[in-house]
Amino acid sequence: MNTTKLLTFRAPAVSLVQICGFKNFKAPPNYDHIQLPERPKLRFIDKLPNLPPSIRPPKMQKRLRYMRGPEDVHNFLMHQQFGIIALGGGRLKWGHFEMMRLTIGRKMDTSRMFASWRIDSPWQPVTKRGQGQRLGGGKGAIDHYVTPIKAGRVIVEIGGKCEFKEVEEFLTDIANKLPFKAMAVSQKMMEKMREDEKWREENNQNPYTMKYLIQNNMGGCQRWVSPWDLKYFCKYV
Amino acid sequence: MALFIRNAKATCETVTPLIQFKRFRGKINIQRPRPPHFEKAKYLALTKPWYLPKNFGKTNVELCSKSETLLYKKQEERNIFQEIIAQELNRWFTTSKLIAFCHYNSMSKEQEFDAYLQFKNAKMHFKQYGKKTLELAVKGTPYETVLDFYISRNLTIFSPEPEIKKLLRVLKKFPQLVLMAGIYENRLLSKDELLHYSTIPNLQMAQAGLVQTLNSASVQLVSNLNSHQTTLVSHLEQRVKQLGEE
Repeated sequence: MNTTKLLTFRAPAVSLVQICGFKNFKAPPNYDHIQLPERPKLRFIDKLPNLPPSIRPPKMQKRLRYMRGPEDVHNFLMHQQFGIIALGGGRLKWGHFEMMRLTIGRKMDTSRMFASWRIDSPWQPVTKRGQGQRLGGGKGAIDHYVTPIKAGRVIVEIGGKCEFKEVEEFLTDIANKLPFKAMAVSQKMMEKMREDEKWREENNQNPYTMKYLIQNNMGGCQRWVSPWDLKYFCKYV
Repeated sequence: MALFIRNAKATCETVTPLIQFKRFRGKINIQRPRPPHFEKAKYLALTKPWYLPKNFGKTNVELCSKSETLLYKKQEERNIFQEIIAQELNRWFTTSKLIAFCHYNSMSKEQEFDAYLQFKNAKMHFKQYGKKTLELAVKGTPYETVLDFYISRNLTIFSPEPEIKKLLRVLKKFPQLVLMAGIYENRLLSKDELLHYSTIPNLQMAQAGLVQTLNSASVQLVSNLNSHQTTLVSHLEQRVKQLGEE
């Protein structure tokens, strides 16, 4: 019995070659084409817009349209490196600007990297009535200024002789503190997102798309869809 | 007619409705949009996109997880470090006068170190390389044939001087290292041929021997021709000595 066991459990007749492979140390990426600007840190953003002294700061309606729909202009990375993009619409206050400026200034290695704003300083006035005021008495005074942001807008950009892993952590931290959904992205990720979007559009197996239904007024839907849905086919709020 | 005109006036009277302009629907909330109306929700549900599963339309061969390793050989990455080592190895091959290929049976590290030391003392270099590195080093060179030796664990000994005797003397102490073949002065030799070569003295010695034998004939001839004269001279000298003594 022992012999049968031995026969059945004997080692297979193959020559095993132990492989002790070489470590593959890849060459570091080439950063020769990158030129660092003179001032690597983000510049200070004014709390109030600069108006000539003769002009009384104008009050404004809410103008929610400035944060509806997709961003058409500032939706790509200028330096083709890293940045933060907004995933939804919203408004940035001066405090958010300061938070971004200080965090990036603290966490970024200024000898190798640089950062730049891709948004305007706060310009849209938001009015507020004083505390405990009754209704009436006209529009309140300007309380603060904001910058409206649309979905897909690049907010800040970071570049320099660094990799995404180095900046991802603090950029994500910042993105989570912003008043709308945002994320840290690299150029590669942006390209991937665009490609995926295209793939999803091409490979959708559902013949009924919102675009088709709305453009052909299926079921008389144009009676009730909003002008924004007529334009963006229910993709944005 | 007058009646008709009066009637027409009554029917065509314009009515101006009272229009009160209102702001267009309420204010939207961008951060937390309100849930869609039932009608719109129906449309959204109808137009929900769907995609074919990832493995749709694939054959069984393509679905097999092992197929990648079986059918398509993985594209190997370029390893620059390995290329440098291969260049070095190529240099070893071209500059060494004696290269020996051994099979490496398992031995303790201490023994291996001992072997390394002894080869070092004999001014030989004891190297271990993988097959892939060797392929990079010798593919396309006259040394390509030696790839056949690298099937199991192997050892290569490079010696800048063609000293087979020394090599064999060290190898005799380590039975774990089995000599298979060698390259002696750019000629691939089997183990037996190497052993035979070890018994033959080296070229310079043989040349010196030849010169000696060639010289010896002429020297003998000269001595044979001169022998009578020299004996006569020596006898005469002896006689001179005798006469001088008397």
